[in-house]
Amino acid sequence: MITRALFLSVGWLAISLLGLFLLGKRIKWGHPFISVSWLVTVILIGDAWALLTFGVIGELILVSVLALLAGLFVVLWRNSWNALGQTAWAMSILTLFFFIIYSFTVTAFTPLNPLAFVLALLFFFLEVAGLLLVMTYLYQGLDVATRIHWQRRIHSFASDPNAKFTPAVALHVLIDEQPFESAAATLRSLARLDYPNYQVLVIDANIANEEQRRKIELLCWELGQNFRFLHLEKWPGFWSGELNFALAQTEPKAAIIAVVNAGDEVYPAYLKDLVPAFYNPQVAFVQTPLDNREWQDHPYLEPASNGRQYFYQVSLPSRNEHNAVALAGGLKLIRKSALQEIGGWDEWCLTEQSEAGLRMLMRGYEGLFVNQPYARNRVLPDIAGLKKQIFRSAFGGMQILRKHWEALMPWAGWVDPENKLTNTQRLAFLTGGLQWFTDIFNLLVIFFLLLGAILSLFAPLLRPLAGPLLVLPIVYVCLHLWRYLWALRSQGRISLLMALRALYSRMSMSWTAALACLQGLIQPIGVFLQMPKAKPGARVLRAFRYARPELIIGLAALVAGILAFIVNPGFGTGVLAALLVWQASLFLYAPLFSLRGAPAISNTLSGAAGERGRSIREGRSARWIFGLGVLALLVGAGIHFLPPPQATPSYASFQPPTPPPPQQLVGMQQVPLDQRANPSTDPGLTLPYAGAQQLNSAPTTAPTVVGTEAVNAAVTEPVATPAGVAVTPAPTVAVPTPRPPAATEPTGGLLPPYIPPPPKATRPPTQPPPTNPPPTDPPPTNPPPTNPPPPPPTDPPPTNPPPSEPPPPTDPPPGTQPPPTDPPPTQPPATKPPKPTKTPKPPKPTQPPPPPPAGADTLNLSALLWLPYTPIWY
Amino acid sequence: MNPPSGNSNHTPHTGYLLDEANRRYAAGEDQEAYQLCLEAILADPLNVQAWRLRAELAPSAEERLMSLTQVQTLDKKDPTAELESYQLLRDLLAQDPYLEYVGETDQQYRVRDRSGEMLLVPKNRRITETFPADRPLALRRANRFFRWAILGSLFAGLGAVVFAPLAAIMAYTALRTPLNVKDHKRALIIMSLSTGLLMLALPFVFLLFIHI
Repeated sequence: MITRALFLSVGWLAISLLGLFLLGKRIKWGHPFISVSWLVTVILIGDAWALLTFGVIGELILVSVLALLAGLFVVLWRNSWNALGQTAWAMSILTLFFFIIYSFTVTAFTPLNPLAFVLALLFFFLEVAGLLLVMTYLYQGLDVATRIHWQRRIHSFASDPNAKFTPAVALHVLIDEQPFESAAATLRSLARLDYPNYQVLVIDANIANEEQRRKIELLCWELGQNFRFLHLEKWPGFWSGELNFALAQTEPKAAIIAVVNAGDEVYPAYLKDLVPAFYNPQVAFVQTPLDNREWQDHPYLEPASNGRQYFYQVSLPSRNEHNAVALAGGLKLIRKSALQEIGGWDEWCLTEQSEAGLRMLMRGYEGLFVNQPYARNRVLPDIAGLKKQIFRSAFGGMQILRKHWEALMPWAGWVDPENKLTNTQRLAFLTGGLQWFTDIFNLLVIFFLLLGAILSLFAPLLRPLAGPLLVLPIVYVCLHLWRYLWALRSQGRISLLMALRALYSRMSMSWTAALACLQGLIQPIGVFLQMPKAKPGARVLRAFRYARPELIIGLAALVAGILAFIVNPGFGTGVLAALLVWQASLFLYAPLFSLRGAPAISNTLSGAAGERGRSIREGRSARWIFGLGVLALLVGAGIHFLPPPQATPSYASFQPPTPPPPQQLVGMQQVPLDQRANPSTDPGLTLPYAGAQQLNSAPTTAPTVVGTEAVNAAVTEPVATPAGVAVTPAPTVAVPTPRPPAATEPTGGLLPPYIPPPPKATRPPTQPPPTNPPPTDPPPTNPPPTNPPPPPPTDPPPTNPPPSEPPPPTDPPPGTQPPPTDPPPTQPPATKPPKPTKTPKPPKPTQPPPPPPAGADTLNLSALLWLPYTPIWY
Repeated sequence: MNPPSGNSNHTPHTGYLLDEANRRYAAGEDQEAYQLCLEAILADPLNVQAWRLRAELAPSAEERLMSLTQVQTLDKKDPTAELESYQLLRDLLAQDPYLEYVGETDQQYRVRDRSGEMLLVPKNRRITETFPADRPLALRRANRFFRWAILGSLFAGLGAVVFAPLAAIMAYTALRTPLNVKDHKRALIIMSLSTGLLMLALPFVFLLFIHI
């Protein structure tokens, strides 16, 4: 049932996503009646499809009721979304639910050796975690794209009746190693602010160049009394140390603080428009994005700028609706008293502003996100600076998780009554922090894909395509495309090509973000990424040097994917190659991106401002990843030395049945309703790896073994019907286990798993074809799909004992009496050699067990290596 | 200078010294008033009025700043001290905007200007808990075992079976020691979650067992 329920929910999801893509962004109205109508429509369409193809009526009703209940819950819960978003979200949850159950039952009940089981379960957990992360992105995207009622969306406070509220504002500007021109542009833009009551405190954070320091000091003097310059020497605590001192040196009457990055050119209306927000004493901070319109059509700056727009256009608007805005990037205004109340900026955390925002919300304040740019960033770092920036952000994100995980738990309010976070806020911050792990999953995906490609070079083995190797890559490809090409475009109003470039620019930084996540989890204090040094003039060399790891990974993926397809062309390797090429393109974009950014290097940041702490080299920080990869390889190889299960165990009967074949799903193959739930089409008990084929076949050479174990170990060969349905003939032995085993039948899965070539049936030249079969003895190659007749006595399956050495005829025990249509396994006629005039001769009974495919040693090793992954998908 | 702690030990002698200092100050005898003020501070270092008078009488801006900082530290609700110290430092830095970090306490920064004069600058913000937080040893161990139990539960629940009981035992040990309310609740939570995690892990271990 679970398999069919999963397929049905996937069908519903596909229908709802189709509707979402077509109209989801356009419908800006809604009504519960419309929502329920669309929900019922989707369910009925899916039911009709299932009824015509693979569905069983009872199950359909049950699962449909479940879907309806889930949908109604979402309609009531997310009543600010349109009907398409509600239904898509409900069906996503339902599909994930069924998939987790399905995946777990397969993982738990596939016959494996203990080590393989442990690894399989580990990958199951990882797979579930990866999919839950996908759901968080999906939620955010739906929340902004299909929302029809915005509770907290504010564009400006200019028309607010409290616009005359003009408290003193202190603007803190930190200047590090920025070029003087960009710092000067920032300061001059602040001098033009249209606001009556503000002061600018310029902090020189360790500018090494004395002349530049003097120039900035002079400029501050020129700009008037509102500007103060301060040089801080040997100041600890990264940027937050200096910001804390700036807080101590803020004019006492100032009520609001603005943190401005050197390089941001602030628009004159900034304070005039946004300060009125603080008329509400509960508002602690206001966050705004940066303007990126200036960089359109620039080959480097445009994707670099748009790459971070997903955060501003999708994440923050969604979080703003739940009062869970992350104070990060862009421009921000902060209530001074709130900042003093939380103790200022955290000097341990690299992303001190996000951390402070969380602490302010924990004290019950509100944060606002105004999706209106009030500054443009004049300085975008080159790729080295970009990597440092992402490293710092991801590292800081991990630090926040480490520091505040307890405050984000459901019981946090009970432990600390001062923690005023609501459950929604906790969830938003928790998922926001965990979303950095997406980059680790991206890396895992490419690792599995690479391994699959390498293994397929040595043997025509597509089995490694199963497991997270197939589910997660495809889901992640779809996710990233959906995030940027649909969700971002729905908000950012950028072209398809720009969105694609934004996707590439961000995803090409996956490696750096993954490194930062791992480092952030293990390092006791903040570290910065140290990029390799390159000669100033060597533009191309420097560009490639900065993106060396991405280049290596991308090339490896590209070569492995192409080789895998060339060596073993086929559908499976085609999918594998396509996924690898996609991943390779993401990573190979990094050197291209770097090269495009290279001309701007001399004018922009090649370092990262404020990074004065301990630094770590990229290669050194990657050693953990390489170490984990090698460990995974070793453990996988170690499985080879552990004995597999000696017989198909009884728990294997809990595996879910085989998914319907594609022909059945599209209606090309009709199966009567009353036969769809027939367990005879179930895969049976199978050891899901190539090496197990021999194991499964082994009992055929031991006909004298009698009893349940031997019976369980016996396998029958599936017979392909013309329609393509693999039907397992009834076993020729009395089987006390729940379901008959099938050696070469897949144990399930949405893609055809690896099926080794069947043993070559030896046809003696003297054997005539079955030209005249008796009417009562239909050929076994063409049985009814779900009701196979018993094999004729003259057509024994390969599990029968050799005719030359027939076992003594024994009566089966009463409890194991087979159905009358099945010949008893030990009946003497079944052991007779086939008549020459009958149906095709089976393999010689005396021949050894079915030979493995070409390259048997490698194949077995490969299969065993992939053992942990295989059951997850089936 | 470390911030004074505890309550002011206001004595009649201190009161007499301060009255006398104020009288001399009003009479224009600043030097004598300053000496009396110093004696009053020696007698009662936590006396806000003495520090305030010293800020007015101090011969140098640095000393004035230091005195105002002490006033702010002792009387956080005094708005004039904050404003005065801010303006004083602003005037100082207008001449040479150079400050070198020397050290800090929870209440104030210790910085040095270019001439080497030590300055105290009040922080004007709440003291926060540092990370990692200082918790009782048993609770720290319970936390650590609990983290290992979560991580280990990914491996067919084996890690949870090993570490969750240890975490629960450590949490129970912590509960038997004097704890503040928050830590007491934390210990209870760890104990409950460890037990729950163990229960959750047992089916996975059973599955592993049947695979052996």
